[in-house]
Amino acid sequence: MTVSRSGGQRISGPYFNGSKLHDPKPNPGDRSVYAHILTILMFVALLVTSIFALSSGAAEVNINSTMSYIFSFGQSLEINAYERVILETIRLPRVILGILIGASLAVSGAVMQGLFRNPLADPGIVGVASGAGLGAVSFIVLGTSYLAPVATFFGIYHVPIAAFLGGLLTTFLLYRVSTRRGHTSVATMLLAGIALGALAGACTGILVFIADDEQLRDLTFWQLGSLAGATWTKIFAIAPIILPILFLSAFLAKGLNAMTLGEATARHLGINVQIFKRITIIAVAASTGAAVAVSGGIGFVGIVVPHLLRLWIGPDHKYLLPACALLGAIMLLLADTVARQIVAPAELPIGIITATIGAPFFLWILLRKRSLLDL
Amino acid sequence: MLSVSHLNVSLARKQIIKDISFEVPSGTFCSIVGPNGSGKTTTLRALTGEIAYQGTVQINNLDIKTTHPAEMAALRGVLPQSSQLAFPFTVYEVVRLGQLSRTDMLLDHEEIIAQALEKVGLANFGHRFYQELSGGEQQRVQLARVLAQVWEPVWHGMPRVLFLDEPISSLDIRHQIQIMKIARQYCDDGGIVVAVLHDLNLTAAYSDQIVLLKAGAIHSIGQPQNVLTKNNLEAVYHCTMHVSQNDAHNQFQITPVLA
Repeated sequence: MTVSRSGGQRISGPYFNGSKLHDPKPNPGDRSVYAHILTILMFVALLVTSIFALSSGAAEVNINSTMSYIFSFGQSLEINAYERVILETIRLPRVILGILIGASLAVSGAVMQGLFRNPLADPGIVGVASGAGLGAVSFIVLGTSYLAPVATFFGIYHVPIAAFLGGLLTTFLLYRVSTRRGHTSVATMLLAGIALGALAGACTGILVFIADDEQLRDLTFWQLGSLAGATWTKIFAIAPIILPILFLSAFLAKGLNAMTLGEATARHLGINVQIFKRITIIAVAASTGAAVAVSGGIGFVGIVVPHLLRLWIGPDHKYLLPACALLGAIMLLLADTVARQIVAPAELPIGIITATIGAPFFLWILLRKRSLLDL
Repeated sequence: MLSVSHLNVSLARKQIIKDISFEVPSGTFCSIVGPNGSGKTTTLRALTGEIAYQGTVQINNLDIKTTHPAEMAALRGVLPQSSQLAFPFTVYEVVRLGQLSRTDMLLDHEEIIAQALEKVGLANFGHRFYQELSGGEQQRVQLARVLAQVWEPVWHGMPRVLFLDEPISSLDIRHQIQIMKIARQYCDDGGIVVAVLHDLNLTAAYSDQIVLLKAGAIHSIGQPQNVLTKNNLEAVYHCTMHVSQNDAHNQFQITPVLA
């Protein structure tokens, strides 16, 4: 290629003038091929896991019936009425809810970690889920009394919206507190997260104190995190929030990649950082809020899934975010199936299972990345 | 063309940069030198829009305050003094980050990445993890990333600008020369380089224009032989200097007189 100088004199530059250096083989540092393969594999795995989750449970529905039900899109005549009721009113909503929540938790974890440039940031750990929880609890407890007009106005969306606002406020406060001149202090973020989480927890405590017996039972189960009580109504309440955000996250990938080099460099690379941060904070708060509103505090999915995937396919958010959605869904479906089976016909709250696996894992990352904390 | 007029920067109510104006025409390697605390990095950060300033900074007649970040990204690349990465990227992936705002489909992105790595002498480092490299290697990877962003020094007939903040301070002498040659070549091909530098000898050898700062103001500006004089240097650095022209290599030599 030749370039022209202002004086009109043409000189040849070293840009593409000789033999090409790049060999058509993929570059050894390029992990996008693994990412594509893994994404396809996980998609298949998600299908298999869904069928497995649909066919396992306290009531007997054999795997052949499930398969024929799914592949005929519910038109199959091979299953009996009893199986149909189990599948349609209990298991199918639960599996779909599990996929939505799992994908949402893992993607919000990855997005938040990208925004804070730290693998330990997770809505569940830094208090955003507690903030969302406070929003949700206030409507569960006060929705029939003080907040009744608001609750009626927003219909089935009132709990997700309240959770979203709670999550938004917490995320915003957290970012303001822990970020100074474009540098996010990890120690400040974790400590501020604990403080905000504790404050939200205390307010939730007051609401629990004034709740009646029936609300209390709802709250306890909800606080531990569970997919029990999945209904189509709940799906219709949160799918319009979660699905658009999952799609939006594809557009956040570029900005998140740029942010890994710091705010200043992200700007130099062409990202409008202020607008980007705002959109990201709203997206995280909305999806965390929606997830928390229907399933309570299911922790650690947002930490474990993105971390594992970063080890396998690298931190490029273009590939990381879709992969997180798939693996998050798979993990949550598996955890939920275990939660339903382990003490059948009763069931464990799923939050207990994700925390049992996730908390040691979190500790392991913390110990490996101790230097990041610079405490 | 980069033009800076009446640049003033105040940090915490203290005026750091006092009314700086200069122009860098296309094809020019402009170095900003001066003692510690003279405002070199602050000037560069104002020119890249990182910090608030009063005055006007224009690149090819576009005001950097009002131009959209994506448009600015196509016009200029910035190499910071140090860069930290939050996640375990490979060297190839870091260089690819430089291209994230490039939307031109016809461009051979892979070829640019390969050439950029070759240029900084890290052709076989694509698969290595960035965090496992030495400080000097990381700095060169970052330069490759910036080069991948503004690979062609002239783009749609307009010169592009490379802002380098102490690009060679963590490198050994061989790589210092390599980076200076890359910057020199960028200017010879029609681009603009604005670099903050400490090494006066390398600065003298490779620059076309030198901005010598003293306490936040321009002490003198112009061609190396006119700016890096004994009198100027002694006035700015407060130590006795010996400046000579080495005839054998036709190169400028600046050494402090140690007494």
